[in-house]
Amino acid sequence: MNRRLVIKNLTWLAGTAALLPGCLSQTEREQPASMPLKHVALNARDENLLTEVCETLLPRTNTPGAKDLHIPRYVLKMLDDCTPPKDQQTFVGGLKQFDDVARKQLGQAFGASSAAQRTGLLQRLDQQPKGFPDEVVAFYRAARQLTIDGYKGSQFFMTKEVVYELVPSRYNGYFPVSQLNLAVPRHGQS
Amino acid sequence: MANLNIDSVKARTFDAIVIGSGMSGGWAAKDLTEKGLKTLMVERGRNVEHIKDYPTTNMMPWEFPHGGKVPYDVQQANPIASRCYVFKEDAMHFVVKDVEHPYVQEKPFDWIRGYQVGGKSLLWARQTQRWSKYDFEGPARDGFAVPWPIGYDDLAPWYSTVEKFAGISGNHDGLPALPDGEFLPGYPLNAVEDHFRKHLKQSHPDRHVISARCAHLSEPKPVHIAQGRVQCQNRVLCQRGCPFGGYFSANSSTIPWALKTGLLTVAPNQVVQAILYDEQKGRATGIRVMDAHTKTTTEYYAPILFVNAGALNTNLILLNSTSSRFPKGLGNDSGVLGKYVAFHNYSARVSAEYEGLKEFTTDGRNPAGGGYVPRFRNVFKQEMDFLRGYATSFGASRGRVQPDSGFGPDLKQQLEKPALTPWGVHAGMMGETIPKETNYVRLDPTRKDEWGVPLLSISVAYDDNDEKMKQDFFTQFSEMFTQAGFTNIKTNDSHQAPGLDIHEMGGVRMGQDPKTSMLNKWNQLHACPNVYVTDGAAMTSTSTQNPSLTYMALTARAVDHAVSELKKQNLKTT
Repeated sequence: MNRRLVIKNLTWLAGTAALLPGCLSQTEREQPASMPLKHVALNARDENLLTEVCETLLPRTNTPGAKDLHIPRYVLKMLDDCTPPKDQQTFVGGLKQFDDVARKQLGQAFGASSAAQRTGLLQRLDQQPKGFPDEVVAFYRAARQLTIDGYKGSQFFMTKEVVYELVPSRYNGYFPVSQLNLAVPRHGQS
Repeated sequence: MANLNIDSVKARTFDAIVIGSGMSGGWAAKDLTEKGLKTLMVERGRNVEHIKDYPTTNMMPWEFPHGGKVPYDVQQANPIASRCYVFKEDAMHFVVKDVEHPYVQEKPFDWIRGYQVGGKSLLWARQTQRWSKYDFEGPARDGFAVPWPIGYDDLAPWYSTVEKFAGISGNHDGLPALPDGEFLPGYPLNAVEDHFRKHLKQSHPDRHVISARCAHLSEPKPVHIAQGRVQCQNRVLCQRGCPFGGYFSANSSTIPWALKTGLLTVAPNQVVQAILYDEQKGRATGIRVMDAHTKTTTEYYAPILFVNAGALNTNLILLNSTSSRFPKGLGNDSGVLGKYVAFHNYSARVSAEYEGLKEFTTDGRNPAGGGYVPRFRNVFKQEMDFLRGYATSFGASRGRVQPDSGFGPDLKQQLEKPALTPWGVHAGMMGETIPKETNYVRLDPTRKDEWGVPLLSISVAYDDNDEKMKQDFFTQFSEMFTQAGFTNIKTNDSHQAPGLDIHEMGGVRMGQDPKTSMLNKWNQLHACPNVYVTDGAAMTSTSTQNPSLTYMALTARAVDHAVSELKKQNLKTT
């Protein structure tokens, strides 16, 4: 079996794991995440759950969604490299609790639920956080912010949506808002 | 630098040695070589060549692995550097890491350093204002420190020289407290900065909002083109190093200029341990350096030396240059070496919002950063219950609304077509601090760094004058902001340690009297006149201006003097 095939199968396994949580063996549960992590203890299953949360936060519409733009990997990297240990623990603890909450409220894993169910759960978490454990809310808020950061910092967003200008070569301190094209706002415009 | 290892005194002898390659060292090298002197410039850090060694300069935001942020482990390992605003993913390679270059804090002091060819001139905020006569007259008038041995008229022609070569943008504002200079066109104020300017003109005729003066080529002249620099492109990514040479740095300007003469030898990775003093000849003869990597020591010789290591490192080198003639450090007969260190108080901000002028925003980026309010307190006479005063940076900008709840397609749409926020305005205080004997640096008695140099021990703190001045700043700007119609006014005391302003000055102060100062009016050590100190260490007082322009003007003036003295054989006498 060549290496690429192994990776493919691993991905398939990880996907299956999310779909068939009851049938998980110890080994499957402990498949590592898709990137090396130095600080946070998240496995492939956790990563899958995180990926689904990211995609629900910023889904594919007529523009690419979180998965298309590899934002879950950005979230993992920022969590692992740039987040203080205390917040990492809260995030990881909150993610695991979120898994339990989803199973309780949706009757199945978040990843196995319908789009409407996922949206419904995040809607409650977003609008009525008091009904959820603190750590779950903290996880949601942090995941949401990192997903937004990843989206706004992505090459897609900065070349197709806001058009980042490395070399603006101009400054106008009295730029009329009426001339601002909000459909294609430019980074140089504050 | 294999050619430097030739084991002969002759090969290690130059007409002049410059210690340090930053703002003032680069200028010294330029002027010395232009005047025909074979010059050695030693730098303790690595080489950084213009453009070639700016690894991040053309990186897009999404190309940074952490979106521009510094990894947590790096922050934890470098708490001091991490407090500096340029210590981000795009420029952290130009800032000294705490662990690599330890020092002793007798009191909290954030010492921000840039050990590389070009020093901190790569990273500076590029604000450039002349001192006025009122600044030079401060210590004598108000009875602190010692009187400056020079006045505005002594330095004015040298300000002009520096401004023309470096390229300073600004307007002719005609203010006695902030003399005009040789300006390229100034950058404009934006709608709200201009609103505040007009308003202040009515409410406080003695207070002014001007366009910040900065070292950017708004309209390059032939002398800038000749340096290989072109017009500033408004990138405002200066801290990465600028491929256009749009702002002034030693790397883009003075060092390549000096290299073109064929008379400059740049020696990076050379840590100066001490300046050598010859008791018979009664003068300094050279320097002893240790290679940062191989740890071998070498001596270099020259009839004149310029010490431009950066204010506190200049103190360190002089303190460590002991001999039986100077047991307390080179030129330190008075005992004031290392004392009367001062800085700028940058710990106070006032922010607010403005609901007006919503029909305008900005387009592009302003390299000058916005407006500047020159000092208006105690300028012409003592009026307040504190000495001296503060200048203020003032800016306004609009941001984009980011929804703090919600998700899904709605959130995506809001991110893609974000609404504009109202204008935010901010004022940042830049306060003069009073040099005191109790604010000092000294050598740690026991600990040394890996190059055999004692660690510098720093004891610098704020005082009551700083506190009173800060409260006045808060009161005045809150009031002026209210009158200008700004709302949601907030004062912010950062309580930041001295040092983070990156304007540390003094310790080797200028003065008329050798009993109370280290340097004469030409920046020569009173007791060892072939050694010139023209960086921040020379400052007798600090005033409120960003200091780099003054360091360079002092350097240009001192080089002119040194070369004429050398011609008259005045510096070679035994």
